[in-house]
Amino acid sequence: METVPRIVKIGCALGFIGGIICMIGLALFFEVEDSALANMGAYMLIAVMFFALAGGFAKGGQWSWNVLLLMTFLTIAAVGCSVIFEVLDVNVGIILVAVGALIVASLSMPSSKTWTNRMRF
Amino acid sequence: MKVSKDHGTAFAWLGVTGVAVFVFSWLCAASADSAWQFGVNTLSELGVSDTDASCYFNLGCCAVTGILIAALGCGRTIYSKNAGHIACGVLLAFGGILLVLVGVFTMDTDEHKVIAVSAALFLFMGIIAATAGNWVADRKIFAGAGIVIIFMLVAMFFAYDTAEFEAYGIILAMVWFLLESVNMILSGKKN
Repeated sequence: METVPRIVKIGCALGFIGGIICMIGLALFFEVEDSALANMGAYMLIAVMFFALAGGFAKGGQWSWNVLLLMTFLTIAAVGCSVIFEVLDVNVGIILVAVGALIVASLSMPSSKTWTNRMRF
Repeated sequence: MKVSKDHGTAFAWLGVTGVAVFVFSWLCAASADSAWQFGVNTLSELGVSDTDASCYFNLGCCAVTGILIAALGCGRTIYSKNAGHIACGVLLAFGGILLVLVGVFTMDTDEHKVIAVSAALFLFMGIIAATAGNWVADRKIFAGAGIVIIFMLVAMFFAYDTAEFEAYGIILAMVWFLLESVNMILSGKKN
């Protein structure tokens, strides 16, 4: 049985942490107003994107290393755009960008590249 | 044509110098004209100011920075191998020349708006081309940074008014120029 590299476990955990932070952010900053649906939608979308990133690190994950890296950058971009449109709290946005940057750092390690490309199917 | 990689690195330093000159001139111009406010007034208003701000803006932010960006674009075109980087170089060169013209045709002329919007579009398309080029050239981290910057610029275009978009957009563009210059320097050292 092949052992999972530690950096892959860290990347996967960071994906889950990002998603959980989004869910907590949604609960903390939810306000009943006209744009509540848009605000909730942004938090939920980013949470789903982070959980999908976590899934990408798993054995039999859905994406190759290239696509996983692209999705990580798109997740960071989604966080940035949500902050610009003021649907995401700035502090939550900063934490999520930091989590995204850590996922990029974990992906840039050679062992995670080998793992994600080999364990895709 | 056989070219030395060392010269590519030298052109990259022009990008860093361009950012430094732009930021320094912007700070000097904003200090000289106390009526100008960040995110409230457009940058072009500095170019028609009655104070020394017009000199700082038209010469520093437009003329010198434009020439340096155009030179960086030429360097990118000459020393690149993939189509994305070559396209980026050509677009940056045109964008740089148009930036020089922004300082010549100031806000009180009819041509200003067309030239300023064209310069911004050329530089934005240059960022897109460089991002594609970096992705193909396996410079994935720099390409990723480009992707984030492109999306944020588009979001700012829709979310902010002109003055605010211009101010924050230029800061993001400066960050990209620094990253791309570092990318060119590292690529030069690698080869």
